[in-house]
Amino acid sequence: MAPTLSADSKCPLCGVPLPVDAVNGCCPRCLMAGAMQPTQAGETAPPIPTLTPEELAPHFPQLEILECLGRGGMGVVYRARQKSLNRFVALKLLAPERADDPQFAARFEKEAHALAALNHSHIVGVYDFGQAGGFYFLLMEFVDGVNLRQLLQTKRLTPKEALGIVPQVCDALQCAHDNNIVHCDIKPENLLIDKAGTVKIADFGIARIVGEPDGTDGAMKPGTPDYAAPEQVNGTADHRADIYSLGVVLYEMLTGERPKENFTPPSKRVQVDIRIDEIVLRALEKMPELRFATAADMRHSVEALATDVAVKATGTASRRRRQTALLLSLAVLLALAVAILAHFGLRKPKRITPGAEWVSFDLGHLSDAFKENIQFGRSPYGLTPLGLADTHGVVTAGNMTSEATLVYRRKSFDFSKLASLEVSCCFQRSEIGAGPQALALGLTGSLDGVLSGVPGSPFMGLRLKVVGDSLRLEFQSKQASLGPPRSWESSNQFTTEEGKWYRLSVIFTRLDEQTIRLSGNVCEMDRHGNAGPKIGFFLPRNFGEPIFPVREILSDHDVWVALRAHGPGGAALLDDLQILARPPPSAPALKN
Amino acid sequence: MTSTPQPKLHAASFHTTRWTRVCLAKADSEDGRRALADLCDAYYEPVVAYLRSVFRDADAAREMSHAFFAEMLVGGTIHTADPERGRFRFYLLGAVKHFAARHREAESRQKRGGGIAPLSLDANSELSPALLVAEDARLSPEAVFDRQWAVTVLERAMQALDAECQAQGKPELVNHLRPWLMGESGYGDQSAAAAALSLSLPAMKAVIHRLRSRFRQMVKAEVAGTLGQDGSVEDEMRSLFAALAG
Repeated sequence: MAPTLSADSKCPLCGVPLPVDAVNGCCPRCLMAGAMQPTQAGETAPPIPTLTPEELAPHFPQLEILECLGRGGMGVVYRARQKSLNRFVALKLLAPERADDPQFAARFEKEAHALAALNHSHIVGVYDFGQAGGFYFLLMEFVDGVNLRQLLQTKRLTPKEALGIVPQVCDALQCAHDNNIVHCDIKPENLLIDKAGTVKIADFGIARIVGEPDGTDGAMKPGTPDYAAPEQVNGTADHRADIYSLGVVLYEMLTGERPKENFTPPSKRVQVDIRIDEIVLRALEKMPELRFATAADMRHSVEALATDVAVKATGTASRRRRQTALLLSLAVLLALAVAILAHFGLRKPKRITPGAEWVSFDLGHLSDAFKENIQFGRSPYGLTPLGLADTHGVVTAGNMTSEATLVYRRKSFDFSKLASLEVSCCFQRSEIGAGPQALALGLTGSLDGVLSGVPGSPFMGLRLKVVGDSLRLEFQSKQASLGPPRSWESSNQFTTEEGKWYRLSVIFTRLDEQTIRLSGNVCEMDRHGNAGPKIGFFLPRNFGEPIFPVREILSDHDVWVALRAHGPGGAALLDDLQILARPPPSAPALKN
Repeated sequence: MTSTPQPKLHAASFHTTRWTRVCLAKADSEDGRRALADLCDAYYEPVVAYLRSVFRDADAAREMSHAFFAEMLVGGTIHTADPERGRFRFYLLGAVKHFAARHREAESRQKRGGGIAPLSLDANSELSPALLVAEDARLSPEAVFDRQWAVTVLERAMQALDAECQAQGKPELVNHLRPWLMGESGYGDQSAAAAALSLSLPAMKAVIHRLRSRFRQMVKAEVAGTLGQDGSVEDEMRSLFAALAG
């Protein structure tokens, strides 16, 4: 039985007689003391007493130690004044109980050197480090502000504010990753925001210093569980673990909660741009190779979105009318300048992704890559100089009734040797008639591939399904012998405008022999061939046997890229087919 | 008010007494009034303790507390609720001080005996709380208020924890393990409790750990509910801890 506490007994913890108002027989003082301990996953505060500034002062004669700022799992932080330079600094004492461990000493020395070399405006700088009075200490830049956790406790960030924080963090991470330093413990507590709103990452590499010695020279250890990437559990993590953790932070900033197993995308929980989902989901991919490859990549995606959001916000906020007027006049001037430049022939060449297979249709005739693979009739495709950037495009026979499949026959692809295959094609929206789909992009098992329900060869891909006047993205896959195809339709429905150019992109990622991961989007294109905002989304989703027949394509060593355009479905004119095959990553990007 | 059994507290109802809601609500909106009533209901005892400490009379203190809250809820006191003033604790203490001062003024009028307190005929009888008064006399009324406040916070968190265990169908858990909410050590015989709950010792330790962490969260949530928009939970908890130590 539990020990019984009567009102006249003493509290066995603090020895004070229990007061009459003891809470359910518990000493209120000790209860409150228990409640004051940090609430964090892990909750293994080191069992050392926090020293007062006075107790610490003799060990640090060069400093005037002012106050204890707090303690975390990694140690205790004090605010101090550096007497020689008369500036405020943060003094961090690390793991005092490990002071006698020679392995720890060696690792501390090595990591601290690396940290001191990190010089970045978004990283808390390390001024000095060493050992004093039995403590390993780091002397760091003092950031006068709050950490992101404190900020989140006082207010809910707007999506714009949240997106403003991420690029700064990405910037700092990229700098550190370039120097072979991984943070391993990115979480709101470690993101400091000073009074000017600048974000600074604290505790770089501390996780590696304090991590348990395991003979492998301080290999990556799981950080704070909710923020740690899945691969951190078995210690094989690299810089992409930080990207995952940042994804968790972003999700939390947007929704107020941390993503759980099978979490819902942010846009389903709070009112945010659906494009944020794509970024968050990609950062939170379980497999590191599916995440953003670098922090810089993530930064670009976020920034592209943030600029767009900012422009939209400026346009709608009525109290910024004057500002808008100014911007508008500037925009008009800019537009004039652009028009003049365009008129005098300053045209950008089409953008080609390095390493991509590319069909521009600019030659004025169907190249060998397609010539013999025209389905349905003798010549459903005609070439007209109506493509992007005033080049030739390919048009479906100039009438509203044709539909046709083109198979790119210059090259076949072998999924077992690829990490992913990215296929995209531009199309001009024409009038939507009776067609069931506008455009389908996919992979087929043979050169006479039929990207439809007709038995013959297997295929899988994304198609733009016509729903009334708008479009939706739908996954389809089919076995060679059997039809009709299995399909899964995304709920994201979007409208397009007649006469405008768009690009459909699909990314196929092979997870194993029976599972494919697909994502895709539709973005606007200007007439010069520059990509605009994304308007349609197919968020990453796995499709696998036995529900979706994908094995035939995934195990075939010769898979061909094909597209199928429907005039009556609203895609009569095509241009710029791009195919990018990405090999699997050869080795983890960072060595220890 | 507090002597009536509390309605079963679920996590949801637990978080509804939020000071910020009072401050944010329009001065005499129904929502603001109800939120204030909730808060006053929850923090009734500190007011009683304060008045008892000032007037040295438990029964009078209880009666005056009724009067105070009635005046506060019916009258326009909510108009003075201002996020700038910060914590609900400060607000309530200010209001009750004001109330006590007015009451004293009224009492000291000639008509009521010119400031000479009528002596109770019951003094020193079994029923009078003479002992309590003597004990409290060591603390200032403000300190008594803060101390009772801290105890109330803990009690409410404890109730929430009880309710949660109840809702999960494990009411016996918290009853057996309550002592260890204070600390991991010091209370010996964990194995006996483990046997009583038919758990292995490691499993029970894990349960204790979870329970403690949950209790912590509940105390923090309760404290947060009494703070203004910019208040720091940690700061307030430190003040409450200091009040308990006093």
